[in-house]
Amino acid sequence: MTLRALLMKDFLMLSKQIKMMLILFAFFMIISLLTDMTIVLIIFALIFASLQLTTAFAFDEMSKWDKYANTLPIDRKTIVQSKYVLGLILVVGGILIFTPFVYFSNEFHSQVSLLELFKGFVLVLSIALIYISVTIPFFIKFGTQKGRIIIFAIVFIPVFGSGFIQYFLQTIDVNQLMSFIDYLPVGAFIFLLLSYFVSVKWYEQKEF
Amino acid sequence: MTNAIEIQKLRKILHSFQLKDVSFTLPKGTIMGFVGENGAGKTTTIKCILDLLKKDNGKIKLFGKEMHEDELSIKSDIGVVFDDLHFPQNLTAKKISKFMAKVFSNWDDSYYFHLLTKLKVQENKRINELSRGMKMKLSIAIALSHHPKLLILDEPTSGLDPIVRDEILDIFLDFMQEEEHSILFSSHITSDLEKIADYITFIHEGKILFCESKDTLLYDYAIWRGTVEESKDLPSESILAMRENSFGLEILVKRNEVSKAFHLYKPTIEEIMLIYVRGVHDFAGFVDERLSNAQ
Repeated sequence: MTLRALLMKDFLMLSKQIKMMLILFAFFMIISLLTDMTIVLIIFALIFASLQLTTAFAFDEMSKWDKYANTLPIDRKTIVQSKYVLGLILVVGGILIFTPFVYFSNEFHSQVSLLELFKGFVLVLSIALIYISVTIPFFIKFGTQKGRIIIFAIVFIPVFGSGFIQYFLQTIDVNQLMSFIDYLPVGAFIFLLLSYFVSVKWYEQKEF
Repeated sequence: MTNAIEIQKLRKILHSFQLKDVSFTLPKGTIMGFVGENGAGKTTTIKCILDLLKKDNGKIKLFGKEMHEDELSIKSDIGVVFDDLHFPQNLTAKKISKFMAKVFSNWDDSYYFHLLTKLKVQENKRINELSRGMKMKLSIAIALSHHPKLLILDEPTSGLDPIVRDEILDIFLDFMQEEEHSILFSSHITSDLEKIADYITFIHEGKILFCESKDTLLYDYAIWRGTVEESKDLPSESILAMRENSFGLEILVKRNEVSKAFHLYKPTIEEIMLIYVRGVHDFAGFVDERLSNAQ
């Protein structure tokens, strides 16, 4: 019940942003249809979903919501859970909205096989889970200001890292590397669980 | 009879401040004014009571139980008001009720909207569009709408005009109509406390200076005003605190230990607070020094 209350609060708080996001998506949908780049939409959806999560933390922080929330009969664990569930709803919601759209567009243009398309979804979802898993504990521990720096790191480390990977690719078989990607969803899920336990621990130690 | 709040030897060390063995008791059915200057430790104490800060030592009991024993049930019987409304700024009073009804099983929507109407808080206005007075009134309506048994108020009236303050005090007095209800009310606006408090607890530099019933303070304590020379005649055991100002000395005394021949004034809580905080503590030494200087 209290988990639902917290989620309701977050969605009421974000409603305006989410509405704006949906209008923007409708616009992107049309453009992507014309240019036949629907997979890009999924990536957009994920970026926006993660932005909403950050916004939720920022709003809470600005109003010192957590100080008040901890005077209410709500378990600290539930407060942490609510943010993970919010992140999952936003990400999964974002993907679900576009799934039929991407599917039909793909059928029409029939670019890739269904299996490839599914693999693409799973890959994107895994990346999103990793993103949630990294950001939430750091937002809880350091707040959104310092947390943002970590997001930059998350974005830029892979960028710099890609040069590094390219160097390795010369020595490692590409197919071997691709086979690891199949395990990514499992890895992401385990990472999410670990992240949750770290967040709960950090949040329980927190003073307001 | 169990107490609403019972604090024993509470200790909390922060970077540049500490609470030193804070102890006091708030009996059920009473209002306690928690006074002290800014930075005296009022908020730190309240945060420790609510477990927002982890205490380093001591015992805190609410309704006879420690927080860790039954946190959720204790918290569902408390209403808290801070000096600001800590809800996301783009929410409205109406939206707040939607999810608060899911936080408290006994949330009373009709009472909440009744309070909003009574206090003239617009339910569809976003929080960031409300004045400070309106925000505080909303905060109080939220704190009361699950019918708590104990209100913990941290400076709820600071920065508000006298009319809004009076409205708010009336709401608190209404709340006290129930015998079981209690209030811990921290404030440095002592006149508000004089109006409604039964007990006054005075904290200074992280230490409790006294915890007395308001009537004892106002009727058993008295202020004597005069020169250093004249003060020599006051019985030393009657003196509680002393302060020097441009007119001479102001001495807080126990009324019944001073002969009726002395002209005594009824103190206000503010005067008592000022004499304690800004006064001298070594009376005998002070008087001797002044007298020897005069010679």
